[in-house]
Amino acid sequence: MLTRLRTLIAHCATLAWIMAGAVIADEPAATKSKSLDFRRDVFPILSGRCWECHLGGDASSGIRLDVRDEWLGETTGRPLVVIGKSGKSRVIEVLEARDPKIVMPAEGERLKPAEIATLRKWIDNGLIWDDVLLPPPKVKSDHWAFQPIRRPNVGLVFNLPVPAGQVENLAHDPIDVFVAVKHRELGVTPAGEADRRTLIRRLSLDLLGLPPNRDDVEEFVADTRSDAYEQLVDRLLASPAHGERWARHWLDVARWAESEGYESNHSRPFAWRYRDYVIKAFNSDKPFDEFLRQQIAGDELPPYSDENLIATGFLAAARISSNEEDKWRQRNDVLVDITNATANAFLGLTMQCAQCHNHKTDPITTRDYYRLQAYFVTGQPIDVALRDPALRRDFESRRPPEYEPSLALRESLLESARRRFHDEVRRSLKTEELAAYDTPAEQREVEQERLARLVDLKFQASVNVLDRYIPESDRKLYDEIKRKLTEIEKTSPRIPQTFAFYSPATSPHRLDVLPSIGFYPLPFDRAALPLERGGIKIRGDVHNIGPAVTAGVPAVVGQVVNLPGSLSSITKTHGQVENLPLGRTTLANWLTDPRHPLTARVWVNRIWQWHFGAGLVATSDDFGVRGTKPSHPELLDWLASELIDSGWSTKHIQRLIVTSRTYRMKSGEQAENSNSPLATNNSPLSSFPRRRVEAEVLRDVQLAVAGLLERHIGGPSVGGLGESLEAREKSNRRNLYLFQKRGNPPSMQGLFDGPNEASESCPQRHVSTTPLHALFLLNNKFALRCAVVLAQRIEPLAGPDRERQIDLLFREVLSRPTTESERLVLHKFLDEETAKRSGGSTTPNAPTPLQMLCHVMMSLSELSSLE
Amino acid sequence: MISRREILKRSPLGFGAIALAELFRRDGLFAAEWSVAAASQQPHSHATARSVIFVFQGGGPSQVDTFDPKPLLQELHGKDVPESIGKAIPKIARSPLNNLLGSPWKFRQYGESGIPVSELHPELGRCVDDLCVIRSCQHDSPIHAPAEFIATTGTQVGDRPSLGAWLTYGLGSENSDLPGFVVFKTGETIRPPAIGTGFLPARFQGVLVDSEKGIPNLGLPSGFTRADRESQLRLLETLNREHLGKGRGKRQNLKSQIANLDAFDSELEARIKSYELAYRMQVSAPAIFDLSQETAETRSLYGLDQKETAEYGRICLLTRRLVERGVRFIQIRSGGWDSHSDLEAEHGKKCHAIDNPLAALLIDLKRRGLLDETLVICGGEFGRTPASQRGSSKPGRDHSPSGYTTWLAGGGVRGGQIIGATDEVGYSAVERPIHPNDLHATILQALGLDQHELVYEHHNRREIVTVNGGKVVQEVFG
Repeated sequence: MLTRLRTLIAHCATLAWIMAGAVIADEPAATKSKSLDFRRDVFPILSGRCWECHLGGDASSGIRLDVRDEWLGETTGRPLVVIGKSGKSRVIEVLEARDPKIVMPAEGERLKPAEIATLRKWIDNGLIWDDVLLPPPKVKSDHWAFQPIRRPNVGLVFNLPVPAGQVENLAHDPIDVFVAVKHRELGVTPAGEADRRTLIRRLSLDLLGLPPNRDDVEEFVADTRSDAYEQLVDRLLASPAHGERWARHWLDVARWAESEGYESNHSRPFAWRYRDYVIKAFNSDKPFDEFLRQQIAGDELPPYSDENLIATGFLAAARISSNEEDKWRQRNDVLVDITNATANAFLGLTMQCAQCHNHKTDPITTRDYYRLQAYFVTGQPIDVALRDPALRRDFESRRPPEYEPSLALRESLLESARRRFHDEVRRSLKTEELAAYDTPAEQREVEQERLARLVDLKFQASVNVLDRYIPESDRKLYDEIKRKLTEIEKTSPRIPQTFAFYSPATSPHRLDVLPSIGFYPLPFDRAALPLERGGIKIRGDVHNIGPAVTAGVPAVVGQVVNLPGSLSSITKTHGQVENLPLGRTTLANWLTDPRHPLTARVWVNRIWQWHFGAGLVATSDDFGVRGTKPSHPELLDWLASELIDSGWSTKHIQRLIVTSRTYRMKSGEQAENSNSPLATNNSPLSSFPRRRVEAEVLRDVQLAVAGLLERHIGGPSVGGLGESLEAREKSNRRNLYLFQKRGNPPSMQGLFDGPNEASESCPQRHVSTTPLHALFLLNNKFALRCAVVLAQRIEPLAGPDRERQIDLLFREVLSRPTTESERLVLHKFLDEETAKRSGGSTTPNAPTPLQMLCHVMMSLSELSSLE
Repeated sequence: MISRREILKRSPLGFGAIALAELFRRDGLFAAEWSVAAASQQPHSHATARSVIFVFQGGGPSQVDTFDPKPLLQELHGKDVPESIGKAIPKIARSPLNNLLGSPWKFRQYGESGIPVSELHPELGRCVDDLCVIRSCQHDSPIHAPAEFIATTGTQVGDRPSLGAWLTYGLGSENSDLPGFVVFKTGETIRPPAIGTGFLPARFQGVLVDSEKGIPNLGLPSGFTRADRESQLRLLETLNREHLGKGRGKRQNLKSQIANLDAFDSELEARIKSYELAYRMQVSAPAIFDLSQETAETRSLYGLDQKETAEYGRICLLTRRLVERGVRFIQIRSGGWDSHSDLEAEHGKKCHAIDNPLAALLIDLKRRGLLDETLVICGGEFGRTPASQRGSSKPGRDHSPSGYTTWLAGGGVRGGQIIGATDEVGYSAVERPIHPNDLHATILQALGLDQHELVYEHHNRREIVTVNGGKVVQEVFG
């Protein structure tokens, strides 16, 4: 062991010599002063006295001293030095310690005073390092997801010997080839192709979230053209309902909702614009790289466009506690939310672990986490005015002229109250508190910073508190203005706006930010935000301030795709960490680099999951070491390559998938011979996996078959601004348009596993089954209302003939005729119910037999399943 | 049937008690069965409680006016907190150190244990020998929602499963006709995360039950007779079985291994079954809410005949009836404890409304032999400052998480004891500070669950109820 280390050190030393010789010529500055030289003065101490134990990845106590970041504690969160303050540096403490249990080196002689003095000087002068001599270590991982995407050669795969009789079934779709290879490997026989009725219903529910109408079904069944199926796929992909259906998938990932969450849970009445943006993005097949770029950096992109800004609703969907007085905690919670969501959604990594400690299984450090977070620190979610001239004109024509002056007057009155309040607080402070508070943040000692934060809490005042500081002379005026504003806001339109993410530091556009709501809203300070800097929070505690970090990407992925200008910016500038805000455009460009190993894989895997119920990588938000391995790795890479090569076209991938034979297989059949343990959960895709549709689809389907569904796209949510949440229950619009109040979802959505709190990115819905579902479908007014309307629609359509009523009902509701046995049961039911009623002794509003039947149809498991 | 060990071996996760029933869940086997837990059917150790009643006082009841008398506070009324005490009080926002407010209420000792209780709780005072009063609860959030989430979910964020959801996940319910986790409320609305499931599946969520109307959607739609419903259900089952049969083609050939069941098939079975259960519930649950079945003596014991106590009394009596029927976890949330001003009137009214009903619940459980197996916990998200709040005309108290009281009873708890202590004015815990995570670990232990064994794998983390682990308060059990 010791020998190995010695050899390693010897190597390093030799290397240093060679390097030194090679570089000196370039660096005349090094010899200019007699001041400290890292190579000459510090390196020998480190190599001679420290590295025997503290070197390399398996260093003693996990402390390695051959990497500058480690001296700064950037992965452990425990800095060994405070730059510029050797007296406060842990490393000097242990070198000078008297206690033999603490002193370092643990064995052998103590460091000589001159050596310690050298190290002190080194620390005081800025911990100057030599990147050439000791470059930052490469983070290596042989985990599959961090390796470059390689487009498999389908021809080669195709030419593999396939059992006779199967080749011609494969058609020409590469997807089927990859799947067939797996079948062969596992000895599985795939199911045959589903019938046309099943296929059109499957496609409709999958692509539109709505059932096909009766005429379309019959037309498709009768369509004899060879490309009838492909034609249908094109028609459905072009339907505006497609964007509505698939937007909901993405909104789950984006943890989007229309209120702030936490205690106050104020509504965000303009967050709907982001929802509409997502609908449009799917409908117009917006290239995924652009979709990503707009969402991550829309406020930065030139030239300014409302659409770009609206897209940042992804970042802005974070929850905000507007009752939080501790504004560091408040801002930090938002940043954590945004960092986690970005990592989950686009990288498919569970980076949240690294908020408090290095990731236990993935090669992701706390430093990686806070470097990613550093991209977001100069911005925040806020309501921003839109610029669309048509919207503005419309608004201005309808707005009462006294509104804005009143708003401004209230602000100025509150501002004077705030000053009085502040003066009072200042007078109550102790001298050292005042001193700490008045010291500029960057000059504060750590203790002072802590004190300053406590003092700052005292300066926080809710509007209700400020109210008490309005001078008596202004009291009448203030109350009058308050009353007037409440009055105006009740009826007049609001300025056209969107709930966006905006950084005044990295956005080149000067945007109009609108006032926030809440007791202690997240303060938007145009001047202070650009000064925000990324930094490690030790163990995730916002008040436990660790080293500063620059914005950057997880090192392990950064090895595969370099991020220009960011990776080694810390070590490039010696001394104080250079820490300039770095635009999110950089991050977006890095994420959408075609060489990025994760972005395309993660996205095609999600698409696959939304079509098949499970992804090729089952853990669609965790491509890390603990996530599941892809069931068909080559297929995943092939699809990822197709995505990139098609110009990031989502519809291209969807079309490839739904036109494959794999997608067109019959459902519900278990493969024969599936005795391999790998064959669980249909991972070899031996049949189409049946599943219950999502809450939203179930509700939309019920409304659609009743003929009640209102079909206009977009706009403010039902139950939002100026409406009660109750309005949602009576609405006939798609569930997507019902107001998404956190913790208070529309009833069916909440019950059937739809989004509730939307507190984090949701990669996949649970499916639960409880009697409460049954009670809802059987007893709630909603399903009954649909049933009654459906019966009303069927009767005139079918006439009094019961046979025809039954047939039509099944075709309308389930897209198929009845089976013989069903027909018998249904006749019997209707006969019996009619007989019961013939006595005339029923209750006044008793349901008719047909209404009862329609009501049963609403509860059918077939109605809610994707077959 | 496959043994638990075998399933654990097969679990892709490889460890922990998650696997057993979580595997069943993923295969949808028992999806409709409230009676079956997801985590482990076997408690990890000897359980002293079978069900839990979590009485939550939203807003924060004042410790120094109820269970934590402070003679010095009375003496220092109107004065500031002495420096010697003040320096040890955690620096949390809104903890004023000036203008102490002596309690307007007198305390007296009750029972054999002689534990002092204020005149706000004369009836609970008479039950004091069954109470274990923890006077040293402590955390660091002085804001309602985050603090309530600490008390109910373990952290302040509100994104983790609530204790009730965890226990239903871990132990299921003993009654398949009723939800395992029932919630009642009086006053202000519920904060959803406090009864939510966080990352656990939605079916473990607390079911909010209206104490007057009962379980939602339980009544037949108007115009429907029971006979109508029964024939609808017969038809529904026939059609659903037909649908289920479609996927049945080749199943007989398969070994009866769980791994090879068609997940959707078993989900369909579960759904068919859920309609039976729903109907059974529809038939049996209204009876639970029919309190006319109780004797006049019992109704009066709970204060149903008094206007001020009737609503809470009804909830407490229903709680006993649910416990009797095997419901695992009942959370009762009463709002309105946030007495920033006019403490005397507000606390007076709130305490009066719950004192008699809560005492009745303890007495009634005890005489039916249920208290031994039912753990009752009562407290708020924090306590209140011994100092008076600035700026209010009639004195009140601000939020104080540094030291507050929670009491426990039944379910193996040794009554008649006090645990921990606050400083001499009742501001912060100075002896045996107990965090809500510790309390949760203790509650789990009473139910025979080891906090490190009841786990759920989420985002690569083996999540446990107590987040990073709590310390079981062993003295609670004597």
